Amino acid sequence: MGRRPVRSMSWARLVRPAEKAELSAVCSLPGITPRQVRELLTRFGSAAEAWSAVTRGNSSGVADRERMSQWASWSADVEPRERIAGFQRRGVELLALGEPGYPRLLSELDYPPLLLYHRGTLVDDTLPCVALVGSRKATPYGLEASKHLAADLACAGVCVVSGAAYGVDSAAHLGALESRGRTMAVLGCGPDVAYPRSHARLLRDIVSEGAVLSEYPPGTPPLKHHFPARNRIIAGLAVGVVVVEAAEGSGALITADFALAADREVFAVPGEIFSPNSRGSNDLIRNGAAPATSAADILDALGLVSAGPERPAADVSLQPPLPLTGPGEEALLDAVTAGFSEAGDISQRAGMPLHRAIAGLSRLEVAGLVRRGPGGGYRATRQGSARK
Amino acid sequence: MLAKVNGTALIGMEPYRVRVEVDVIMGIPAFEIVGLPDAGVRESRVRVKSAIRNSQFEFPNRRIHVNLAPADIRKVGPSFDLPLALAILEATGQLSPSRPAGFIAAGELSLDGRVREVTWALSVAIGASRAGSPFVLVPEGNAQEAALVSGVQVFGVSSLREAVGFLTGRLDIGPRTVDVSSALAEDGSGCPDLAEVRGQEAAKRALEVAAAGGHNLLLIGPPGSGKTMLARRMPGIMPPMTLSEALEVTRIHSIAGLIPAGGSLVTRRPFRDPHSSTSAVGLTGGGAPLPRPGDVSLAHCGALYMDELPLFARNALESLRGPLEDRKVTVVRSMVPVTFPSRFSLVASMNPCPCGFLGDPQNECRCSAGDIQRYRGRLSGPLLDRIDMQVEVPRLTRAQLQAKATGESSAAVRRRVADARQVQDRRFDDSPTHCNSEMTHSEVEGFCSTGAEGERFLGLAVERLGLSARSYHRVLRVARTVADMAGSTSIEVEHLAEAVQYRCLERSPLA
Repeated sequence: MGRRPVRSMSWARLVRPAEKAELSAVCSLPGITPRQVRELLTRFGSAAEAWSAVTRGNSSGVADRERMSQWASWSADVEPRERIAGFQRRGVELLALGEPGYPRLLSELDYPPLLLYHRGTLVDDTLPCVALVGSRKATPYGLEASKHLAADLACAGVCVVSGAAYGVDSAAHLGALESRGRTMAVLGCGPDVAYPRSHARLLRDIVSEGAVLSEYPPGTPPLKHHFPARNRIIAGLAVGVVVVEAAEGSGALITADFALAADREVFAVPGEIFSPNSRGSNDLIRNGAAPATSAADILDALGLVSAGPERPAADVSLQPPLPLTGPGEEALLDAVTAGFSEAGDISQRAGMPLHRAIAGLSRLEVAGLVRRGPGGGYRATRQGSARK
Repeated sequence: MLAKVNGTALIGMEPYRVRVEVDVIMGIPAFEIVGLPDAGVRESRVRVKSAIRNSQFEFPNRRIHVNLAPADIRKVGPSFDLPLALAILEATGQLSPSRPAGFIAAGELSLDGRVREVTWALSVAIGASRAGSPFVLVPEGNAQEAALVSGVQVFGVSSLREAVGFLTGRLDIGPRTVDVSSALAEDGSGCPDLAEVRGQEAAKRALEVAAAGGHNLLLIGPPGSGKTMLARRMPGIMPPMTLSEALEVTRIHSIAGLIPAGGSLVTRRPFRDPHSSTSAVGLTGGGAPLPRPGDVSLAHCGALYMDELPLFARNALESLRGPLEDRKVTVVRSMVPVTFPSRFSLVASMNPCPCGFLGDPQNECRCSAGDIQRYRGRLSGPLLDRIDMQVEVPRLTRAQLQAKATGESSAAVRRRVADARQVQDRRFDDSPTHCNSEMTHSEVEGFCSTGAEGERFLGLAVERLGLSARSYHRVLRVARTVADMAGSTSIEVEHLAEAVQYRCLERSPLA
């Protein structure tokens, strides 16, 4: 691979797990930048020394005088060990770079997170991680693809990593959870903060089956500039990143860039060539990303053999569908798979009155054979197409 | 000398008989009006004085006391001009009526003695009829309107001299008559026709179901997809109004001053289209000193179209919940509750997201996830709950736009809707409920049972499509309408299946 081993970076060597409390405090100084953290470590030789100096109002030129006095007064009220103990009481643990348990793949990034705050248990290095990322405004196709890929990957013993955002991310976590597999979520805010708010329950479930982690201490709000930074962690944790559905300029493409820079595999799920929602992911394929049409594509390319018990990549979210009531619904399904998506067109093609068609399509939808998009158009699902 | 003539005050929808008492006595010349007159009524003094003089009568140069009884109700508006002038003439011996006393007069006076139209003439006639008055004297321009009321004779006058001439018997004016039933036989051809809408078959079907069962409907689609066009055709597919509905609508419009001079019965179902900047008071009614009906009452027996629903102010949207639930609006003024009826069909429209392109196959949506959540979040749960049906109105393809419009006409749809309404009339015969959407919980239990297969289907739909438990009852009501339209007494899975498709907002757009 030819990566420079992390330890040779001078400042990284200065991170001592025993001093993680002080390091956490230093990283949380008001307004401090990651570069300033590295400089403090370099100038003072250790986190503990740096902390002690800052409390005394000395930053050895890393910050200007105004900032220094701000840090001095902030640090006067903080006792680093007590602060960490407070986090632990709230269920948040802290891992420092270099500590046993810190994911090895993540440590190989150029700028790995110095500290990882997490709830739940991080998967250990024996379990391969694959990241599923994509658009927040995913189409029903993107959501279904994400959920099914995640479910199948989890069945095969892979840990699914994503960002718990709307759209592809949450669909991926759900797919993994329903397969009773492992999943980890990386947040752009403190690991105790539910963002988006409506995902609070999802995050709780992820904590029980895996971990919710972040580079930011508990209570940190989801500021905009945190998100590109956390995307590098998603890429860093995984052996491969799958972009499920992304429009041009989507944040998921940033994650793909981080993956490439860190020498990880990048996959993309092909989408309709006319759909603007897939333009970004299709472009990735054009530029060399491996197309992912199934979990098998991904596992094969990564050289992963199914690590868990053999389980059919079943549609875990569905119970036995309602039996179709006859030729009418077959005709409707034919019309949908032939590409007709509007109720009026479908009813004409299937040769039945409109209200019958609407009722029939509804039954097909409940049976899981077709799905309905936000514009009211009908499409066949995976099972629906499989009946042909 | 003392004289009395009757006028009418209005509180909300209800007319109140007012005795205009005039006493002309010795003393320093003055002209005082008491009995809670508002500024407009106090201005009567100027109009009455000039009108009397310019009608070649004498205005007394003495002390004039006017009392508008009962003294604790506010008197508003210029309709007291005519009774006041007549009372003054009577009190000064210039008018000795030979017609029966106890009649009611209403009219504004011009300085030259002409009688001008008033609003709420219909209510004046209703009040007169209830009070058993022998006849009503109204401005000529209001006579057609007032004559709609049975039980009281209506005479129209165009000047003070004419009124005096009539009352003394010198002038012969016949009572005004209006042929109500022929007025009502109008075929609603003034309303735009459904056949003019190209494509959008699913949305048209939803409109028909909504009209048949009185369900509220939300149209969701990108700008320019034809939502407004569809909404405007709703009154045209509703069955024609009955006489009592027409009278009620005319009464409300009369109070709001919307009946033009010479106008009579409102025969077409109203269509109101308030702008999204309308305030809560404008929507539901209120205002001072006289509460006026809001858009929800002006749309009574018709359709209220709210375009771009999320753009309405939050408090305006919240103010809709009461009228949607109770089908009336109650406003309290000086401790007197005033009620306006508001039984209307709500048709609302919204974009799928702020930029309008979410779900569009050809255009990318530019909104952030937060934008979309905030936009949809403007419609509170309780408000959405009261909208039984939601349907998507997608953008038309070029082929569809260029094709000839060959859909059914409003008349054909109206017949089916009328049939379905008849089924409901029979069902709700002795209940205050008019249509399926108004069913109470116990009526839903009684009329909307679904059988085991239906229960199973609904359970699966709730589970797999993300339907909320509280939309369960909404689905049952709509399914009842679909079954009625199919001529079925029982609700089959097929009817439930269609009804379930009209809950599209429940499926989250973003997982």
